[in-house]
Amino acid sequence: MSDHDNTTTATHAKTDAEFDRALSAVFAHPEDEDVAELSRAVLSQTVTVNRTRSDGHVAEVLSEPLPWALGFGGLMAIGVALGYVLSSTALGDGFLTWFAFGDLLSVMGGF
Amino acid sequence: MTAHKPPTQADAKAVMAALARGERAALARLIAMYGPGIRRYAAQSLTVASEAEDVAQEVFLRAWRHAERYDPSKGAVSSWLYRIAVNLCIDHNRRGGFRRFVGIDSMPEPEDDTPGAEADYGARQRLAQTQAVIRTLPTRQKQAILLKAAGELSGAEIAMTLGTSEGAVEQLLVRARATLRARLELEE
Repeated sequence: MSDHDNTTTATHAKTDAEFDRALSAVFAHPEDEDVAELSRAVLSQTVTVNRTRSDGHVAEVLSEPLPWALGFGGLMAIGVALGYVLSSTALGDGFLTWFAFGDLLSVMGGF
Repeated sequence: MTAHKPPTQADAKAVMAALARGERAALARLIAMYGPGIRRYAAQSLTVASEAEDVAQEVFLRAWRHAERYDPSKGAVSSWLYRIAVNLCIDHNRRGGFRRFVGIDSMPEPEDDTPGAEADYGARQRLAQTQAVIRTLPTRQKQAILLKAAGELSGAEIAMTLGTSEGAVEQLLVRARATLRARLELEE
């Protein structure tokens, strides 16, 4: 590489560096360096993450009982409905058998 | 230009080792080291700059959850963190684009009503012009120049972040600078 090429490359590198610095200055804000709020937010979320990891299932049931209660109620309803349909379609001597089977299904559906 | 001294590799790797052991104090140190740069990068890379804080939080939460996956032999801590940031910004922009398309989100850019905003009009105008030109760059050029200028990463760190060679990064930067110089001079 000739001296001229070296000089050109060096000059270009210098102007690139200057350009990058100028661009960084455009993006920089004095408040950027203050990470207290970011740090607080992240650290508080890490506490939540740890707690969820350790005893998530029981905590979920205790803190949000409604979805679990709805699920339980839904299964009960399905069991009762199925039992009713099966018992009402039964005819003659088999009626009691179907009725008992329907009851059994409703109990199983509930639990 | 930020006046802070960039963290050394040895410091950063020690912090990552402590983080992998579950030390929360190490997370605070990591945020102090890389938080400003990552937030700056996210603010410039996201379509909605106000989401930068959320993205920065998510970057460090993922670092906390997956600290044991960081392999010092595969690259710098900065590259590992910025790679998470780059991917999160891509995801956010993609999801945000869809949400705006279906009308869940409007296209927001809140007006800056902070005190002194009027006096800083020139700087904001320069920032807006620069952002407008950067938005027109091809994705890889945009990522490279933002990692350089907003994240203040070296060529090697950018290469590791983007999963490419230093030579390719240099090419991306040369092209990005050329476009920016030409367009910004034209607008001035």
